[in-house]
Amino acid sequence: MPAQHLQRMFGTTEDDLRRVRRLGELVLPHMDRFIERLYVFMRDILGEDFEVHFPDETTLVRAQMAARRGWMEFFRGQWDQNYVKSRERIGEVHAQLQVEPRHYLATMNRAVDLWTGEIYPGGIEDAEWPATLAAMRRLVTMEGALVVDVYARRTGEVIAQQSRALIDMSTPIAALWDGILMLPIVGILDSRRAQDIMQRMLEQVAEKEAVVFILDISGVAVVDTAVANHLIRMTKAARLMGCETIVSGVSPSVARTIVELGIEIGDMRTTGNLRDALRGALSRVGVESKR
Amino acid sequence: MKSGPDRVLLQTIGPVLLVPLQGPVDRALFEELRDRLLDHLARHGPRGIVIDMSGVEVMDRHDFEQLRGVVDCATLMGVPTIFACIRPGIAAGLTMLDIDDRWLTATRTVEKAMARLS
Amino acid sequence: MTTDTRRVMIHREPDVATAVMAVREFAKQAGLGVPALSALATAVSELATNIIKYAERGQATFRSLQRGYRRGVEVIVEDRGPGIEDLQTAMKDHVSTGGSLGLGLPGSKRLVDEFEISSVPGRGTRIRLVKWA
Repeated sequence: MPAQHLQRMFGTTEDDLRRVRRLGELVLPHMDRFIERLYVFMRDILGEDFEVHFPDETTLVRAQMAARRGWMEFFRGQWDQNYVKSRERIGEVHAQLQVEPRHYLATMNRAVDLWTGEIYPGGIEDAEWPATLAAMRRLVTMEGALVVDVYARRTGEVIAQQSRALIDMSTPIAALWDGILMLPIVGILDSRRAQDIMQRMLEQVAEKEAVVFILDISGVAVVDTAVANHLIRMTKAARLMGCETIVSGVSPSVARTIVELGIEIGDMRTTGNLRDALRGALSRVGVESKR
Repeated sequence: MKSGPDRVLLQTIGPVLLVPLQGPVDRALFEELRDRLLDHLARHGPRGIVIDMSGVEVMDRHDFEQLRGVVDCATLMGVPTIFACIRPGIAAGLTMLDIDDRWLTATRTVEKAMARLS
Repeated sequence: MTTDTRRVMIHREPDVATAVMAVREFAKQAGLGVPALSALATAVSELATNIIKYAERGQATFRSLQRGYRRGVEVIVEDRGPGIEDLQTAMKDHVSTGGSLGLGLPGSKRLVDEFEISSVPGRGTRIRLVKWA
C-alpha cells in the first residue's frame, strides 16, 4: 500500500505529523511508565491468553522492546514507504502469533488514551490540544488499518490452507463396493498432499484388500506435469499392492493440457466421469469373481 | 550375514511354489534364493511362483533389482512369478525411488496370487 | 537441542541392515509413524548401499531432533569416495532405460522432509536427511 495513498484515504496532513512529533518530544521520556500501564491493560483484556502470547520472561521483554521501538518510530512522524513496510511487518507478526484484531485495536486505543492522558506531562498550548488529539487518533487509526489489513490477508491464507487440510481429513476414502475404493481429490495437489493421500490410499488398499481404487480429480484445480506425476506414482504404488487405479473426472481442458504438455501417462486408466470409472471398476471385480 | 537353508523357505502348495520372504534382505539371501529356486524348478516344475512379501519391511532399489534378477531367471525357465502382500511402506518407498515395475505382477493376498496361477 | 546420537560405520552389506535398525530405533524415539519410518529407512538403505557400491566405506550418523514441539530424526550419510561429478544431473529425475541404476538421489529426496547434499569429486559426498514426526 503506497504511503501517500494511505494518507489521502485518512486525510492525514503535514500538520498532523508535526503535532504528533511535538507530542512525542513531551511524552517519550515517560516510555517506561507507558509500557508498564499498557501491559497491565493487556493482561487485563487478554486474561488467560496473556500467558499463551507471553509464556516466559524472555518473550515478554522482547515484545516490550519491540513495542518501544514501534512507538519511537511512530512519534518520528515520518510516513514514508519504509514506515509502511515496517507496519506491515508488525501485522505479519501479530497474524503469526494469532493475536485477535480486536485485542490489537483495543490496545492501540488504550495506548492513545495513555499518551494523551495519564502519561502526558503537559506542554502543549490549550488551543493546539484538540488538533493534536485528533492527529493522534487519525494516525493510530491509519496504523491499525494497515496492520489489520495484513492480518486479514494472512488469516485468509491460513484459512484457505486449513480448509484444504480439512477437506483432506474430512473426506474419507469411500468403499463403493467390495474391493472398490474411491477418493475425491479437491483443490491443489502438491507433494505434501500427494504423500498424505498416497499413504492413506495404500493403508486402505491393504486393510480392505481393494482391487480397484478410483481417484476422482474433477475437483483438482490444476493438472500439470507435477500433478500428473503424483497421480502416476499413486497408481504405481497401488499396483504393487495388487490394486488397479482409475483416475476419473478428467475434464476436456485437463485432457487437452495433458496432451499439449506431452505428459506420458502410460498405463494409467482415466475416465471423464465417475460413473464410467465405477462401471469399469465393477466389471473388473466381476471378472475376478467369475473365476 | 547368516545365509543357508533356514533363511530361504520354499513351500509347495499344489501346483504353486510359495516363497515367503523374511527381511532384512541382502545379496547373499537373493543369491541363495536364486540357486535354491532354480534347482527346485528344474526338479519339480511348478506352474508358478508366489513370493510372499509380507515379511519384508524395508527394500531399496538395489534389493529390488536383485529380486528382479531372481525372477528373471525363473521366467527364463518358463515359470511365472507373482508378488503378494507387498507392504504399503515398500510400495510407497519403491515408487518414490521410481523403480521400473512394468515387468512384475502383484496381488494383495497370497490367495489371489494362487488363484491367478491355477 | 539433541538428546541422542549414534554413528554406524558403513563398509559391508550387513552394515546397511545395522543402519536400518538404527533408523527404527531413532524413529520410534521421535514418534515417527510407520509410513515415515518406512520412508526414512528406505532412503537410508538406498544411500548406505550407494556407499558400499561406489565409495567402499563411509558412515551414517543418527541424531534425535527437537524443534519446538516437533521431534524428528536426522541422518547424515557421508563418505570419502569418488564424489559425484555432475550433481545437478544426478539430482534430476530421469527415466532409467534399464542400464545403470543411478544413485537414487531424487527418489531419496522425495522420501524425506529435508535433504541436503554436497559432493566434491575426488573428496567425497555428504547427504543430510531429516524426517519429522
